[in-house]
Amino acid sequence: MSLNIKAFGMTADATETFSFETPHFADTSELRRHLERTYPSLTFMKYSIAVDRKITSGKSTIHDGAEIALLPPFSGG
Amino acid sequence: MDPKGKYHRQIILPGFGSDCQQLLRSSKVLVIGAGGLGCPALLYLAAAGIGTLGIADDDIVDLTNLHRQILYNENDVGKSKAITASEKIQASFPECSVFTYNIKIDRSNILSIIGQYDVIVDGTDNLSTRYLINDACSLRSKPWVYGSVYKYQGQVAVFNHSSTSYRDVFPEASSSHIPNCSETGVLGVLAGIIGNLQANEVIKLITNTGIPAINKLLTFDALSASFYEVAITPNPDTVQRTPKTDTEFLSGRSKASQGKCNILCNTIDGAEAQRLLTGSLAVFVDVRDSYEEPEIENHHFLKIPLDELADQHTLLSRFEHMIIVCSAGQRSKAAAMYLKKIYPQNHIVSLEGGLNNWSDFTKTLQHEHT
Repeated sequence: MSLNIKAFGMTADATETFSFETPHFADTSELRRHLERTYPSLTFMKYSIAVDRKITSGKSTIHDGAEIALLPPFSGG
Repeated sequence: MDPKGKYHRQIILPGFGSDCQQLLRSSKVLVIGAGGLGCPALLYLAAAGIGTLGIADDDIVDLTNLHRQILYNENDVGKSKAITASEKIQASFPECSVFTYNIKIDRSNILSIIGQYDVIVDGTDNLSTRYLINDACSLRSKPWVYGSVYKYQGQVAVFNHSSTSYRDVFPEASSSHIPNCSETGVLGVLAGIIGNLQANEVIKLITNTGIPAINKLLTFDALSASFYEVAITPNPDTVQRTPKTDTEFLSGRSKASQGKCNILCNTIDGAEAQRLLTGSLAVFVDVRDSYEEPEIENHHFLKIPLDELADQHTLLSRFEHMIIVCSAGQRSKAAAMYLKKIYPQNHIVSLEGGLNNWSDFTKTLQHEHT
């Protein structure tokens, strides 16, 4: 089953879309590696990954069909 | 409480009443940054009847600010934002006591300033001040209302109200450059929406009304008119990255500045840096923030904080060799990568291990010479 990814802020600049799908990955570390291979400029960004609308830290398990969000800090004010 | 009936329409709200109005009247709120977020937040907080407002900003009004920084007009261009905002708020809301801080909020002054206020509003336009606010508020157990914008999107959250902190979402400052509004553009009305969401949270915190936006991060997208909400839980890394004592805070030496960096760039060690500098072949560029110590001694250098690099890199265009430095060598790597993209022909390197290692190296050298 694929993963639905939402990209916010600068991460959407890297992926050039706000929403896309990837194959399933078992955890957030594997997903991060895949995303950074596919969109190299993500490598230079700090962003948190939310799984099913919960911010994760470190390596977190991703279940089938999870909703993923890439959330970078915003800087402007 | 409200002899003129000015606050009548909010006093009659169910669950509000004159008790809540009195709480607003007795409260003290500090707004750091009188820009796109600060202007609407200040206007609505003063209009709601907040008794004391602190306004901190060291910037001046620019013509390009006016589409979103609605306290100012064309006659204000070139004037201090803190002073101008204070004058306008005071003129429109004479019952509000306004305190002006026409200074840069930094590590040395933030603790004493926030100590005088109940709630802090983040209207800053850079990440280093935001981490400073977070760490200072954590140290003083002070709630703060976070807001920031990027193009068509904005984030809002209430941190440190017996709740999670900014570092639970973003444990450490990014070593790469995060552009601000002057580089990416921003929809004026978006800043107004986010600034008003912040004002709304402040009013709720002070009056204990409703449910504050704690333990969650709200992202508003102006293009789709939608909110995306994610839950925040305590991050195990946060404790060790947040300064626990005033001494630790003032020295700026928490683990916050340390972290892995995946950026590939050329780095040099202290010996090579010494060789380049001795031959006057290179310029030293210090990308640490202005409050960070120690100062570099015995070498000529340019100080351009990482957040300002995008605006000021043209200063560097005439130098063929650049050695970029910071405290631990992470931000300098990001800066070197950034500059290399702009000046691909120049020799741009980052000092491995940063000034922490450099000072060790210079001490060794001096020792050998004696």
